[in-house]
Amino acid sequence: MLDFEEELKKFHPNKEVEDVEKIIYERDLTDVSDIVKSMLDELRYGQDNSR
Amino acid sequence: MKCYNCGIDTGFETICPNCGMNLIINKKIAAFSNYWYNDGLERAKVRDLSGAMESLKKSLKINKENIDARNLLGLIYLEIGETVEALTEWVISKNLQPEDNLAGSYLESVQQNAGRLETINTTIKKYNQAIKYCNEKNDDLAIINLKKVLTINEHLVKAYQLLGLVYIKQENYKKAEKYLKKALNINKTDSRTLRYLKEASSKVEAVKKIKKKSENPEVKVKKEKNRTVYTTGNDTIIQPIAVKERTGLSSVVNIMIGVILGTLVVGFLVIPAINQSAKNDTANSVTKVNEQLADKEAQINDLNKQIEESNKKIEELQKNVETSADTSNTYTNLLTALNYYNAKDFENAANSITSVNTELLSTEAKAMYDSLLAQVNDEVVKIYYTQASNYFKGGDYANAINFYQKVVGINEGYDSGMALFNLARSFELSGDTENAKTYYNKVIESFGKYKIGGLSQKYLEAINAANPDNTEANVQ
Repeated sequence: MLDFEEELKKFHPNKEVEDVEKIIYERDLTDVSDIVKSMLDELRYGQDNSR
Repeated sequence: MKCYNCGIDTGFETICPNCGMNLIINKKIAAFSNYWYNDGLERAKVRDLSGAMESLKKSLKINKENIDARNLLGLIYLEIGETVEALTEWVISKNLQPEDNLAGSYLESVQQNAGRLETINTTIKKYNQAIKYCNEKNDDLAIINLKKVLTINEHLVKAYQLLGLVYIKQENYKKAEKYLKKALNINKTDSRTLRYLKEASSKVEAVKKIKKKSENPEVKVKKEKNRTVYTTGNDTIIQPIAVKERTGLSSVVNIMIGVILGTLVVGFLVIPAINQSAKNDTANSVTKVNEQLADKEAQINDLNKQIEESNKKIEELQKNVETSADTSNTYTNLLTALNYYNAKDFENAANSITSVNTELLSTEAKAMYDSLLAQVNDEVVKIYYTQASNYFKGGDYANAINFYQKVVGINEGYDSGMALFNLARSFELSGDTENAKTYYNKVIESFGKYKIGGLSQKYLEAINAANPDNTEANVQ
C-alpha cells in the first residue's frame, strides 16, 4: 500500500532554464583521472621532499 | 588520447611524448569509462533508461571527458522530459570539446527556437505548481496542471508518475494505470513507475474480481446493521450502507448547526477576506495615484526640457538676427566708405572703413575692402598726420596722441619716423612717461642712426634720470 504523503515528498520542483548556469557551476566534475593525477602529484611531492 | 598530465593528444602511445608520463593507467581509465558507456548504450537501446543513466553517470565519473557518454546522457534526459538536465550535459560537453561535437548541434536545435525554451520553462512552472497543489491537497487543480504539462511535454515521466499517484490517492486506479503505462513506455525500468503501476494494477484487478464475484451466484451476501458483506471463498468485500436522513428534531438541530457554521464561516473567512480585499483596493489606489504622480512629474520634466530648448532656439535666432544686422551695417559702412573715397572725403572714408567688421564679409567683399583700405590709408594717413601735428603744436597732447596713434597704426615709419617720435614726445609732455619710453625705444630701435634716434636716446636718459628705479629695465 502506497503512502501518498511519503511518496509526494519524493517529488521535487524542477530547475528552470535560467538555472542551467548555476547547475553547471555547482556540478562537481571530479573524475577518477583527476583523483589519479592528484595521487601521483602527492607521491612525487613526497619523493622530492624525502630527497 | 589526451595525456592527463600535460593534456596533449598522445594518439596510441603508452608514454607521453611531451612530458614522458606513463599513460597505461590513463588508458585503463578510458577503457573502463568506455565499458560503462557501452553498457549505457545497450540499455538505452532497449529503453532501460534508468539503467542507462546509471551506467553513463558511472562512465562520466570515471572519465568526465567521455563526450559520447555525456551527449547520450543528455539525450536520455531529453527523452524523459528533463530538458534542463539535458541542456546542462550538452553545455558541459561543448565546453570540454568545442569542435566536432554533436552537443553543439543539439544545443543549436534548442536555442534557435526561442519559443521552445519558453515552452520548456512554462512546462516546468506548471509542473512545480502541480506539486504545490498536491501538497495543499488541491488534487483536482494538480490533475489539471499535470494534464496541461503532458500536452506540451508528453515525455515528462515525472509528470506521469505524479498524475498516477494523485489518481491512486483518489482511488481512480484505471486512470492511474493508463498514465503510468505511458510513463513505462518511455522508460521501462523506472522503479517508481513500476511501483505505482503495481499498486494501481493490483487494485484494478481486485475491482474486476469483485465485479465478477458479485455476478457469481456462489457469492454469499450478508446484510448487517450498517454494511453488506459479500463472501466468496476466502475473499470478503464489505460495502457500507448509505445512512438514511433523519427527520423531525434532528433536522432542526442540523439546521441550527448549519446556521452556526454559516455564521462562523462569515465571521472568520468572509469578513476578513472582504477587509483584505478593501485593503488591497486601497493599496492599489495608492499605487495608481503614485504612478499618476510619477507620470505627471515626468511630463513636467519633459515640458521644462522643451521650454529650455525653445529658449535656446530663441537665443540662437536673436543671435542670428543680431549677426544679420551687423552684416548689414558692415556692408553699409563699406559702401559708405567707397562713396566717401569716390567723393575724395578720405577722413570719412577712413572712419567708415574702420567700422567694417571684416569677419562678416564675403571673400569678394573682403578683397574689395583690402583694396579700398590700402588706397584710403594712403590718403587718410596724411590727414591724420596733419591733424596730429596741429594738435601737438597747439599743446593738445591728448588729441595729438590720438591722431599720432592712428598714423602709427597705419604706418609706423611714417614721415621717416617723425610720427613715432612725436607720439613719444606727446606722451612725455602729457606726463605718461611709461608710454613715452616705449615709443622712444621704438624710435631708437628703428631710426637710431638718424637725428631723431639720438634725440630719443637723450629724452629717454632724461626720463630715466628722473626715475632711477626703472632705469635698467628701460635702457636698451
